[in-house]
Amino acid sequence: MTNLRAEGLSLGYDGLKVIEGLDLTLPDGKITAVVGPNACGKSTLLRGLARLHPIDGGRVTLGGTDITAMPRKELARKVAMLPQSSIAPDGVRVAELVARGRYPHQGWFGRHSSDDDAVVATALESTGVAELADRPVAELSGGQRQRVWIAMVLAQQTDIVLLDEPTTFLDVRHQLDLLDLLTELNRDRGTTVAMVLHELNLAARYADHLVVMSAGRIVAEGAPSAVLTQEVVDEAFGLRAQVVPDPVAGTPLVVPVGRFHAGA
Amino acid sequence: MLTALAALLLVVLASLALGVRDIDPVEVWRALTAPVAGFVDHDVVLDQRLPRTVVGLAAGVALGTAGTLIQGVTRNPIADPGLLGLNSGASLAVVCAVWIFGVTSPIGYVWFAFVGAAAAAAIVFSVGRGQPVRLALVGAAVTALITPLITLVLLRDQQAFNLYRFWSVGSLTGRGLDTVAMLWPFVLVGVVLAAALAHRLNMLALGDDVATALGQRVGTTRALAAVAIVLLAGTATSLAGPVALVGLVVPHAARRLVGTDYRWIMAIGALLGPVMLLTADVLGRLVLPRSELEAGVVAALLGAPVLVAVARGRNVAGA
Repeated sequence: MTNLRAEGLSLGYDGLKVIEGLDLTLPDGKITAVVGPNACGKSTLLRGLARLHPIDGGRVTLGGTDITAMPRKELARKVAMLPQSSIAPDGVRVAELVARGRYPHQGWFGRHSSDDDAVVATALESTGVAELADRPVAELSGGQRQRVWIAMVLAQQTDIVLLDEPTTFLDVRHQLDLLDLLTELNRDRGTTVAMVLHELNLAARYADHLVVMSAGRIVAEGAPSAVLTQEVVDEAFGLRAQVVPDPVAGTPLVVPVGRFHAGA
Repeated sequence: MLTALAALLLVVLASLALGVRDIDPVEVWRALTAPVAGFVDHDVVLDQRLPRTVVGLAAGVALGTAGTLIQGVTRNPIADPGLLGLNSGASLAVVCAVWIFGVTSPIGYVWFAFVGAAAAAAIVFSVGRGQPVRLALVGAAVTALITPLITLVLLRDQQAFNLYRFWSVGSLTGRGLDTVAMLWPFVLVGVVLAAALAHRLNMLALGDDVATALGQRVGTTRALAAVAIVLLAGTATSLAGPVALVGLVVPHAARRLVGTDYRWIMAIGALLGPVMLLTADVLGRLVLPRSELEAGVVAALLGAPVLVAVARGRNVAGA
């Protein structure tokens, strides 16, 4: 059992509580999407799960072990996290950036082994950026760049991958592209994926497990079709909406109402 | 790497051979291996040029390495020892040494410079808490606070003013081998630390969050880097005065040559530091017929165009 779970987790900024006493278990080998209005604490939760945020109360465990009791590098060999604040240094090339995902597997001077090279090559292949390997990251399009970051995270070879709003700044086509890629990785490798998403309908379509948050707590969680109802959308987002079946996937499709279009 | 090494050898040779009195490289070699007492050429090499060359090597390595570390750890391409307030701290300590304690020999105020730089760094790093923007702001605040204090002392003490005029420009003369003999262990420790931290800087360059997610203790990296920076920049300032631009330009030049891997940037930076400083020193001897320009002045004149070239070549929008 390698479940990543939050137990009575409290997180905050400078004494201001953002999340209090939250319990959550990421189902193994599944895709979990966390949705909720701005400032509901969804990104903070993900950061807490990845030990990027100091814990004020409760704990986060991995396979039963408190993650703060693990050496950071050991945790980084089991849980990968792609934060929103990633920076591609000026002039860095794709293969070089992806190779930095090997850091938790290396010693102080980061000597490269042939093992590392093979892992990096596989990561480049499976994200479809192998032919870009020698290009500077700065020259790539937004969609390609995000694939490169995913490749770096894959080179980390973890069973669990956390992503904080990986589709932000991408157009619809590239959003679908990226979510398809993550689904592929989940199916082919059995990687547990958890991500914060803004787009409710895509979250409902791609997630096995949907977590709806509001004001630092979980409003509802479970299979999207069971979770994403008119009531839950109203409670979490304060939004009047109709929920109809997605004509493509059959998952819930949230159609917001607004003030000027009363609807049928 | 080999090119940088060759450039360093060449500039060391030039530093030993060239000046008001040009000396044949063969004689330079003889002076070093089998000196003849009383032979003017040999005396010039051993008594004047060897000390300033060794000072230039030590200070150059320290500046190049410190500059690379500072830019890496702050992710700030315009960071250098001056930005973090180290030079102003050293300057204040030196003018106080002259004013209060009447110290007049370079060997006497070496430690003052060192302690001044270290004190300024301690303030900047502890208040700045490792956050790049905060470090730069606190560094600027410390410099802004110290600069008028320096002026205050200089206005009151004629002797301090005279000494400071030359010291503050940065120069390799007037400091002997004994100064280097005292300070080289600091450079050694600083360089070893910098080498050990180089790969960590590669991760730090991706952002604090990514570095942490990859399993790095970012705080530890910053603390160790701060120690190395104080040792290196403190030594460089003690040896050569607050030389401007070497610590700023060298990392950019190194990046141009070897790309974004800090393990290479650090190595090349450590070689290019003394190349730049010694080149400045040698040129300073040659431009004026009967006199010299201080290395610090020439380094600034050399460095500024390089910096402009780097700025023009850089994709500012994509930074």
